[in-house]
Amino acid sequence: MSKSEKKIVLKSLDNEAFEVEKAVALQSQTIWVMCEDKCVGNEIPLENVTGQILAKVIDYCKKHAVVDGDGDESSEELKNWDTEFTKNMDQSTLFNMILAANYLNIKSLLNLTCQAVADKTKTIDEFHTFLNIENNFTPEEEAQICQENLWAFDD
Amino acid sequence: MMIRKRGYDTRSKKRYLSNLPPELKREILLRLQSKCVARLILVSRDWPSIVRDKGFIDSYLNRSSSSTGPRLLFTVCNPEKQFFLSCPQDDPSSDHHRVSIAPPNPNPDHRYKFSPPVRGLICCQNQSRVLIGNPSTGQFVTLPRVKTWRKGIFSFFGYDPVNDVYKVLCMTVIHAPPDRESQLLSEEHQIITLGAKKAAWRMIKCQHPHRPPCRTKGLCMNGFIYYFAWIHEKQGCLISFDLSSEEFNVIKLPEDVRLKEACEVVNYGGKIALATALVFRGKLDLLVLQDAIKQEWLKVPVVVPEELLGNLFWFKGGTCDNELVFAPYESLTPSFTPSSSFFFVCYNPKDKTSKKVLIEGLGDQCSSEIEAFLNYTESPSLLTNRLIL
Repeated sequence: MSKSEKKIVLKSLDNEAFEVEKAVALQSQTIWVMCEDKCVGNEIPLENVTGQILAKVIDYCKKHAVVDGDGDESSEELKNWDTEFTKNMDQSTLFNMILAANYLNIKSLLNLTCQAVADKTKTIDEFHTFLNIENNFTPEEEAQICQENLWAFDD
Repeated sequence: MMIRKRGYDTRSKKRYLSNLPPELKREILLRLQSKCVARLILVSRDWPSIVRDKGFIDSYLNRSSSSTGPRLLFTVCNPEKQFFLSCPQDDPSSDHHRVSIAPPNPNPDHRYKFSPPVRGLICCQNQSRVLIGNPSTGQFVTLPRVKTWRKGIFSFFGYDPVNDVYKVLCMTVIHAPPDRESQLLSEEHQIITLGAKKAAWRMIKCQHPHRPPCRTKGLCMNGFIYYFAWIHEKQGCLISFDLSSEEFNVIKLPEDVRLKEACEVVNYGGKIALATALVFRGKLDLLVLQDAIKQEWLKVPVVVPEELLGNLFWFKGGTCDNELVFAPYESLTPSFTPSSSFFFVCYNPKDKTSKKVLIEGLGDQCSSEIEAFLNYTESPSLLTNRLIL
């Protein structure tokens, strides 16, 4: 196989191009299907993902492709890398990563990002602020439902 | 009129949970801690319907038992405190979750009796007072009082997957000395369906006279509650109660089985099995139910690990890794618990190794009654005051 066949170009929504190893990109089932169908050339347009998010997705895939291929790193190290990877992502990045992982169909990344959102959301205030769920109770309703569910406030 | 798209902040162009497609919202909710899911009822009017959905609860239970593994659940009762503590079955030293039973038992002389947890919920009974609780959220609801004047009440808790309802089965007995136990039969069989429009005890007919022995535990599996009972003097059997049709069935034991004492029903690798209740003679015969209709049993002799010999231990069942678990049952004597810790023994019959597992934080009183339940899964199930689950 020539060098060019091993590489693939991913093009983001905002026309940013990323040249990556095919093995890295094929962790995405969506890209894998596109390549199998041969419906695309060497350049794959990804209409739902911005360059900023795609760069992060590629970082993740590079890390995981190396480990799956060579078995260089222990699963423990990989787990730590995953934790660090999502640790400082803000809310909007995480949600965009979830959407990208879902669109590109990368199961392990979807699991990681959904778990990261779940881990950051524990208290009732966090539900309101982090998930931005609107509190649509009237004050009377809220007082009553809180009174009936005191168990929910204990940690 | 200004229409604001909910959950979408037009100024910052941020995406929020409300903008995610429903299947991705669900993926996030499935990964929340069970207590946090239950808390959603306080967040917004729109959420209780999502977390009460049977499909959601089923997925949550499946996911949490396959990804984080089943847990051990301990019930601890002493005159000062009554609480639940759970920990992962494969690493009991980590991730302890503890909740108190609320409201506390008004009469510490009569302690709660517990039925094994079913889909993350547990039934606590003290005479005619019955609570259903979720030990992972700490929510408890009180059921109407059992219809009887008697004090000898047995309760069994189960889930009917056909109609997606939880039921509690109760029956009463007149107290009798152990040698006369099998002559005095259970009466006043009654059942309550949780989630029914009008939650009330209904009397039901039992066609098969029987009596559960003192301290019997039922076990719910695949829509049936199984428990050991005496049908004649010294003749034991397994009762299976169909939670959907509400009928009792008698499953006879093999003819050559002569029982001197009552048996405990356990889950042995996903099958119902009967174990001689107390282990102190070095050998334990398991009767594993192969076919309930044909009444076929398989005898499985188990050699008991040496450290248990001479002590009063109960066989608690098998874990998913085919380990057998033995635990002290109740009324722990100081010699069993020299410190504030509690232990049980896991035995691997394949390579004949056993390991002693210590659990810290189960109370500092020798008078504590501790019970251990295997294969518990934390559930986000909500209970309401109308008992709709």
